[in-house]
Amino acid sequence: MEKNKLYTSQIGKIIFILLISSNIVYIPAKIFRQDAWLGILLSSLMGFYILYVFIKTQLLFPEKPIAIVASDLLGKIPGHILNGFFLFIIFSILIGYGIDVSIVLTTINPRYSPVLLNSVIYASCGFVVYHGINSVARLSNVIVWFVIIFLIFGFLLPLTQADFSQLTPLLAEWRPLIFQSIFVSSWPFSEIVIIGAFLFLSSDLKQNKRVVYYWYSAAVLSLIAFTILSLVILGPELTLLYNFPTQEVLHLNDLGAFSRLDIFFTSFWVSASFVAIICYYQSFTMFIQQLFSLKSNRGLIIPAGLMAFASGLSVDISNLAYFDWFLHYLPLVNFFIIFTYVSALLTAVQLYSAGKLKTRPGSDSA
Amino acid sequence: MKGIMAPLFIFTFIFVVAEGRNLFKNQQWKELVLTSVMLLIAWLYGADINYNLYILPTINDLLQGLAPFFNKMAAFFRLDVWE
Repeated sequence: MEKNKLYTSQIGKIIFILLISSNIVYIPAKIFRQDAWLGILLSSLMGFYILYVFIKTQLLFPEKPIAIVASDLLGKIPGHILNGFFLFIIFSILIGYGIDVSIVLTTINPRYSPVLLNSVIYASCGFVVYHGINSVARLSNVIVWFVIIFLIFGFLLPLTQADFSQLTPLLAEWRPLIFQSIFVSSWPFSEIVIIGAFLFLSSDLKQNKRVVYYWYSAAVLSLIAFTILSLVILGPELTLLYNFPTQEVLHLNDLGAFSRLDIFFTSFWVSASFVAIICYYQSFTMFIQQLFSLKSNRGLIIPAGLMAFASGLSVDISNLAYFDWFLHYLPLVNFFIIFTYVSALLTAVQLYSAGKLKTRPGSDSA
Repeated sequence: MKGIMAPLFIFTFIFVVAEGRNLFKNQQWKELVLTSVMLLIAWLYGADINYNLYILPTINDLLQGLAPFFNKMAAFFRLDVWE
């Protein structure tokens, strides 16, 4: 395959790992209690919407990155403003992931300082980013099967203790469900917007666009399955109470040689979260490269990593305001920016297709 | 949080040796300006943390302004039902 080109299936696998990574430990929709799995289903529509708009745009402008199409179609100033907000969101989530992994690693190794752990996180991720998007795709190719095997065993083994009556009553409170769906659609499902940075590198998008939807659906189904698993084993109240409900479910299941299933789970989670950081890190540098029309993103990797490292450490995680930021404000801002960005792009693409809109003078036509 | 300056120094040095020189040689001024701005931000935050100044706004601070908006939405959608 041509260098710097990706197969659509690789993009699909990146999406799968991105969504499964840290999200499966937390049970994103657990605040919905017994309706959590419905919340996941409702929120996942956002991801389908993003995929539909990005794939439609990319098929219309095959060689252009989404950020460039946005500024060409929406006009230089509005396009750059939206791209700027978009970049801010990607950077915020990158920092969020860095803090997230750092918290877990600090819990496992309390002797190591956050500075050392963050240095290791960003240096190792930066090393992969240095090798280009193909190495991220190859890494996903390998990790995805490890993740799938784990998911199958992790789901089937604890099922003997399931009590399905915990899933009722259904839809007791629908109004908060809709509001909270905004948060869940923002995190984790909007995370897939980062594929906008490298979807144009796909060599077979036209023929295999369905593959992307299949992998996304597989991720949604896995999240639904593990949400139901937590609910039927721990019950809605305990699921809400635990920070990592899935880990608790697995901790209850000691199986002979696999007596510490939760350790396998932690290793799976840390590896998958590293892939998520790598994807965000890669997309952040690629978006800057595209927005400023740079030849390569290579030179940006170390400075971007240092910027994320230093600004991540400046966030005081012992402060309760951090949790407000991470759980409330960031998803809210994230949702509005991404929804506005994607909807504006869809409108522009529809108008362009109908011949009512032209690309910016000076830009290459599709 | 002590010790933050060491990784900043090491990786800035690696950047200058591995990338910065080539950018300068190839006269890629746009890349040089962008990377310098990023490094400057990293060093400013590093100094802010290292000397316990905490003058610079964190991402947390920037988003705190949304608190009233969030609270209004939460009240409208009866979010308290689940809290």
